[in-house]
Amino acid sequence: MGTQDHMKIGMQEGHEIIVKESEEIFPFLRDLQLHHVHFERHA
Amino acid sequence: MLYSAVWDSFEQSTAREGTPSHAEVVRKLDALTDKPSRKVVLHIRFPDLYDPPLSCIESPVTELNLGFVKEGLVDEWYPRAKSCMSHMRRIQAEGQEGLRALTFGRAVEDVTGSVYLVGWNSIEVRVSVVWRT
Repeated sequence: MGTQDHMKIGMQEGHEIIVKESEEIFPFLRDLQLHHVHFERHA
Repeated sequence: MLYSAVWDSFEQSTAREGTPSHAEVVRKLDALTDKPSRKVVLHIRFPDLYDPPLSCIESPVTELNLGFVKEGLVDEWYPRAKSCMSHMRRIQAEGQEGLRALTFGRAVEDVTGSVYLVGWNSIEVRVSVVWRT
């Protein structure tokens, strides 16, 4: 379980790989959810 | 909110779904969400070809991409995804700073669903490698 920190990496300057990779992938997808998650451990 | 459980087998997970304790967990999680009807539950198989999913989940930041392929493109999608993974694996092997682990898996319940997980050192990590096919 965790909190979401959306899209920060992808929007930062210099993250060209994510932009280029997305250009390759987006035409295939009808839905894409991108999240950055900090997982917490629960017993 | 994302809830994740890692199982040794799909059968173990589905067997638990019939138990009272599972029903209680679901009840508590649904109580925390504003629209339980929008909840998505998927089982993902991660092949041994890539890093263990736990390595991604246990990293300080986990990047989660949940994608659903357009109708009719499933057969084209998976070779493309495999090619993307090969590229990322090369970057990882070259020692990309901040990249701890990555994996890709397919949904058991939905042939169009797939998940790409990456474990990062931090949310601020910089990736400056240019994508080339």
